[in-house]
This record gives sequence, structure tokens and C-alpha cells, in this order.
Amino acid sequence: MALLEIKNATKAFGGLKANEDVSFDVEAGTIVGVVGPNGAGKTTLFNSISRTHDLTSGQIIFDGKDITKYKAYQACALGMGRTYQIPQALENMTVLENITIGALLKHSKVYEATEYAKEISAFCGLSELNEKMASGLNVMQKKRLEIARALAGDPKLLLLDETMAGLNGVERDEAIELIRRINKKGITILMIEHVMKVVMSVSSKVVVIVSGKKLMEGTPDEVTSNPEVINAYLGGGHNAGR
Amino acid sequence: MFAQVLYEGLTMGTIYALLAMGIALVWGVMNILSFSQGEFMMVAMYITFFINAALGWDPLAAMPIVIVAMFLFGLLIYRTIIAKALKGPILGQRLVTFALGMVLSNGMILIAGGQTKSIAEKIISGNIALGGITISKEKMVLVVTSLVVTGLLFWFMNRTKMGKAIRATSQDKEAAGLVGINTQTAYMIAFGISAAIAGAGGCAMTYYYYFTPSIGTNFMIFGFIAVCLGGFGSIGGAFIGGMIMGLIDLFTGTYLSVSFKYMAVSIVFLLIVTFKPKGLFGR
Amino acid sequence: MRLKSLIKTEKSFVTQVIIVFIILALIPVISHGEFFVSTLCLSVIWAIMGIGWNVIGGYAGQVSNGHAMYFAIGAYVGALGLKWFNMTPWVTMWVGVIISMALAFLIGYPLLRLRGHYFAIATMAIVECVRIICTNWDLIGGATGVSFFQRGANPLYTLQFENRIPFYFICLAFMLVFVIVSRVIQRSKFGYYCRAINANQDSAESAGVNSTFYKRWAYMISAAIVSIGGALYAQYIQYIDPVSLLPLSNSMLIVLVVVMGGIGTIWGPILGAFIMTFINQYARALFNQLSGLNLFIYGVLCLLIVLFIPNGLISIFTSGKLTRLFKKNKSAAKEVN
Repeated sequence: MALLEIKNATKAFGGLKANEDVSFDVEAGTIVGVVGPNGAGKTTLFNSISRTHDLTSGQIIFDGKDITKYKAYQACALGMGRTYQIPQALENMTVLENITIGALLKHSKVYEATEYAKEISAFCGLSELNEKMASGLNVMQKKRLEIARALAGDPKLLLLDETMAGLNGVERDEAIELIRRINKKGITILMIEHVMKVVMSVSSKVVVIVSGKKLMEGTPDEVTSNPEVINAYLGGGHNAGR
Repeated sequence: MFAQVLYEGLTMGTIYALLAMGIALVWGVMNILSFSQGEFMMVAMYITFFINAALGWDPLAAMPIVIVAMFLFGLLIYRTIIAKALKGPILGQRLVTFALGMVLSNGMILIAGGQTKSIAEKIISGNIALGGITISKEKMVLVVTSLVVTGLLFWFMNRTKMGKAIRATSQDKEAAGLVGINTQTAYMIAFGISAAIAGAGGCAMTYYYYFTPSIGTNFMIFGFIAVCLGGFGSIGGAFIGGMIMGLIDLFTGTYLSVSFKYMAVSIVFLLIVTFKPKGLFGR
Repeated sequence: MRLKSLIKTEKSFVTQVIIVFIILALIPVISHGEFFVSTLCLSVIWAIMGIGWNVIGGYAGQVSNGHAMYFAIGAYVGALGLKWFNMTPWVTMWVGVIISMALAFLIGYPLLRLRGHYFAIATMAIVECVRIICTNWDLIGGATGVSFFQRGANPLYTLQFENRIPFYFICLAFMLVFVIVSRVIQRSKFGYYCRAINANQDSAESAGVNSTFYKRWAYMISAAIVSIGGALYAQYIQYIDPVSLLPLSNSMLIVLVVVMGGIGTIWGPILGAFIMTFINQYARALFNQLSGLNLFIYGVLCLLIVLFIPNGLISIFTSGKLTRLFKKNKSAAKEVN
């Protein structure tokens, strides 16, 4: 059974449809990539899934429950963690405290949560920064911190919004390695990525979104060989090939 | 009776509108909830009073001087206090204006004493009977001043280069900086203008009202509410919000009880923000 | 066993508590002039209110400009309970707490949805309504207020002492309790979540924080503590009226005390309350010929502190600024040599 089912998701801002009739499934244990040109409506779709805002119409089923009307914290409690494209770290708290906030979801005692947060911090390679204020981190570290915070809540599904954007080659390889390790723990991953290469190398399924609609879904090979995709996305002069 | 109350309400509304526009300007441009705006009005009243006492000038004659003086005073306050506060946390900015209000009102007690003051001789005085309404000429001065100031402010914000720069800064500070607007200057001028509006308002109010150094705090909160009714930091909205406040004020004061008029204003406000958290005209 | 490990992890806090409260308890020994001791009492009452406001304003970051309302509720319930029913403040203060929390629960829902300046103005508007109700409600004294001085009754029952030193110790005991409460909140899941909401509400929500729930509870706890402060104040002053309890400046002064001491910290509200109360009281006594001068000085001080020590006076002790300053002077001295 699919862990996440998106059924006919439509989101309109005023008259503008940012997402129209998007449907796809995310199977448990897989890594699914969502790609598309800038402004295609990927982040809007993420916000709908993570319940940051309401859908205009359509349905979201997560872990067998209809969460279409849930609030963000309820979705999180069910096992959905997310990161933001522009990192939203809790700036005036330390790195460890940030991760502890995530860990408190499953460990209500602060010292237990802190212990668990230390483990997660080590897992994500942040241990050395534990006592640093989040406001003092660079963008890459903040993105990592968001992953750690989401992970600390023991999610079933992790939504990653452009984790790779702005990273150099080495940093990107580290991040890919981290995503693989997270997936090995049995956590399903749904990731938005602008950098095509990254998605193709880790995903088992790729969903292509263009102008708010789903163009196609398939294996990385199917997607890259589809002329429509090449036309709409790769042909658009984007930095997708890098 | 009804017409009279309507007229008085609109008169009162112009005062609230003046107060609210000054607050809205500072709120919209630099996101500070300025607690000192009422005290600026009070300072303007006393400058008018001192000019009147020393030189015997009518408040109307003193008004240009008061406006310029308050504008400069605003610039001074901006340079010495606000510019520094803007680098700190938002709460600090708000508290700084509150403390400034405290300094101004108590400083005025030290200078002029706490007694009630008024200006005895005015060029324009007396009443006109118009149909069923009695119109006080002194209050007319107030209304005309408010309308002229509002008109000038709109002209300034929409037609002049500096006004457009201030509006651009209030919409998007970074973008304004990128297109070459000196946002620091825009902030400073906006604060000065806000003080100048208080100058015109305070000066005109001496035509009709008694005043004490603590008068500012009395209507501060209603200035805030007027701004909120109009919607986030919009000057036009603040004007309308002020007029609505004046009407609520006079109608509840006349038909219910004077003591409950402030409460009525507060309740209307609370109901509006409960159901429309962005204000009546906010988007 | 648990207690031992708790004391171990909270070692520095326990040490701080012991030092601070020993000093505060010993102060009346040094000087027990009536004015001095009553200023001490007032400082502790303001500190309690500061600790209370700090829960919603400091931890959860929702800057209420209307906490004078809960202060007044505590004061009125205590005063009327004693005057009408001869009920001891030991009981009525909890009635005040329940009323305050119930009110905070009810108005918390619409209020806490508002953000930024709107929240601040809405809280001010509500206090304004309460002030007008109190002024016009003759049953509870109206504009004249309530006077309930009860000399001769057992002071431990009425909490009205001729000599203020026992009252000071009672206030101090309450402050101790609330310092501990404040620490427990700070170190608990509740406190962590409040701080997360303060830092970034949307981000906190997506990390699983039910912000509505936590903000509401923070608001209620905060109201409860401030209400106790009001109850103590009523017995301290023995005369209450809307003009002294509910002006806008009271709500703002609670905020000022906390911000000047150090917002979001345990000791900041206490430090701020003591310093500001002493300055205000002594300036008033010293310059009673020149009305306005005391508040003028107070205002100037607030301006200076907020502008130049934005993290509050407590930051002088915690940020190591002092030691750094000392070291700088030392190295400067070396250079001269």
C-alpha cells in the first residue's frame, strides 16, 4: 500500500491555479523525486501535503488516513517531517535545541529528547555545531539542521524541499549520501529538486510537474527519455544537466 | 439632534484621523508601533501655547512655525533615538517610543506644570447656526486644518519624489534600496512628517480644546485602533478609520453614555479583528 | 534518587537561587527603615508580575500590552473578598487565579490568533474595556475604588502588617515559588515549544508544535502569576481603584521591567523589577517638590537601557561583558606600560 496518496490536488491563489489536478502515490520505503522548472508549483504542492495551507480541492491520504483537513502539527504527529526551501531554523536557539524540538514529539521528557537529539545530530554530521546558535549557521548547515530536526521526530515520510540548491559538488555528494542513509533507516523520502542529476541518481520514481500540472511520472530513465519532458524542462535552458 | 451628532462625530473623527495618519506612516514605513505620537501632539500644543503667551500670536499664525518645529523635532528624535532602536528587536522599538512619551509628558510637567491650559483669545470664534445644527467656528478651524493636512499628505505621498520613495520603502525595503532609494533618508523624512502631522493637529486642537501634559496618553490607544480599523499601515485607511472612530465616539457618547464611548470603540475593534484579522481595508 | 539527579543537573540554578534568596532575605537586616522595606515589598511584587508576563511575552514571544487586567483581577478579588466576606487573601488569591485563567482561556482564542502589533493593540483595548467597567460598576467601588484597611485583625489572616518585614518574607516566598515555576517551564517540553513558537511559529508547527494550544496555556499561566502579584499588591497598598490599577502605563511597565532586566530569562524580571522600583520610589521621594521629575528620570533610564543594553541588565552578568571589559582594561594598561 502506498504511504502517501495525492488525489486530484488543486490549489488556487485567487484566480491563479498553482496546482491543478495533481495525483500520484509514494510507496513506503522509496525515494520519490518531484522535478519541474521554477514556478511549476512544486513548493505549493509540498505546502499542501505538509498541511501548511489547505487544498482548494482534492485529497491527501497519508498512512491510510485522510489528512486533507489536518493542521501542520497534526500531520507531523502522524509521521510527516519536512524541510523548507528557504531554511526556517529557530534562529535564537542552539542547534541541539532545534533538534530537540523535533525530538520532543516522541520523547516528552526534555533530557530524553536531548539525548536522542544528540544521536540524530551525530547521524547528520552536526555534532560539532551542537552548542552554536542556529542564526550563526550558513545555508548548507541550516538545511542539514532542518533535516535533523525533522528526523528527530521519527517520521515515516520526510519531505525535502530543494535540499541541494546552492551546494557545491562535494557538499552535494555528502547530502546525497545522507539522504541514502536516511532512506536505509526505512524512512520514505519525497524530495523536490531542481538539480536533475541528484534526483535521477537517488530516486526510484520521478514525478514531473510543469505549470502546476503533472506532466508524467516514471523511473528516472523513462523521464529523461521522454521528449515532452526534455522539451518542457530540459529544453528550457535550465541548469538541469549539471 | 441626529445631524448635530453626525457633525460633531465627523469633527472628532478628523482629530482621530490626524493622529492615526501619523501612526500609520511610522507603522507602515518602519514597522514601529509609535506610542509617542500622542505626546508629539501634546508638545505641539505647548509650543503653540508658548508662542501665544510670548508673542500674542494666534494659533493659526503660529501653525507654520509649529509644523516646521515639529518636523525638525521629529528628525532630531529619529537621528538620536529611533535610528538606533531600529537596529534592535521590535519590542525594544515599541518600548523606546513608550519611554520617549513618558519623558516628553513628564518633561512638559517640569517645564509648564501639570495644570490645565488653554488659549483664551482667538481670531475666529463664535457659532454659526445652520438649519438645525450649531457649528462652532473654532471647531471648523480644526476640521479645515485636518482636511488640508490630509490633502497635503496625499499629494506628498503620491506626487512627490520623496513621497514615492517613502511608499516604495514601506512596500519593500530591499527592493527600494536596490533601485537607488536611500532608505535611511526615507525613514527619517517619514518620521519627521509624522511629527509634523502631529504638529498641525496639536496646534489646531488648541483652538478648541483644553490641554495638559498628560493629554497624549489619553487618546493614544484610539489612534492605534483607528490605524488597525483601516488596515496595516495604510494612510488612507487610517483616515477612514479615524472618521469611523469619531462617529462611534460621538454616537455612543450621546445616545448611550459618555463613559461607555471608549468601550464601544474597543469592542468594535475587537470584533473586527476577531473576524477580519487584517483590518477593514487590509488585504 | 530522581531528586538527587535533578539537583545535579540543576546545580548552577540551585546555587543561584540559594545565593539570591539569602541576599534578599538578609537585606532587611542591614536596613529596616519603613520606606526601604516597603520599597523592597513593591520590588518583589513587580518581580512576580514580571516573572508572570515573561511566560507569555518572553518565552512564547507574544507581547501582551494588557497584563494590568490580570493584576487588577487579583487585586479586586483579594480586596473585595476581605471587605465583603472577611475572607483571607490566602484563599481569595486562588479565586483570583481561577478567574484570571478562565478569562485568559476565553479571550485567548481570538486574541492569540493575532500577530505582532495587532495582538498588542487588542490586549490594550481589552484592558481599556475592563477599566471602564470597573470605573462604572458602583458595586465594586466604581471610580472611587475600594478601601479595606483592617487594623487589629490577625495580620497573618488579612496579610496586612503594621511592620512590613513579615509581609516582605511572604512575598519573597511567593517569588521563590514562581522562580522555580519559571525554571521548570524553561526546562520542560512546554518551555521548549514556547521558545520554538517565539522563534518561528510556522516552522515550529511543521515540527509538530500545536502553537494554539501552547500559546493559550502560556497565556493562562502568565495571567495566573500576575494575578497573584495583584492580590499581594492589594494587601500591600490596602486601597485600590481603577486609576491606579488599570492605566495603560501599568501594562507597559510590566513589559518594561522584564525587557530592562532581560526578556526570556529567569533572573531578568527580578533584576529589572528591583532596579526600576527602587529608582522610581526613591526618585519620587527625593524630588517630591518637582512633580514629574521622577517619571522623567525613569523614562530617560528606560530609553538608555533599551537602546544601549538591548538584552537587558542581566546580560551584563551573563554575557561576560564585565570580564571582557576588565580584560580589555588590563591589556590596555599593559600597553601603556
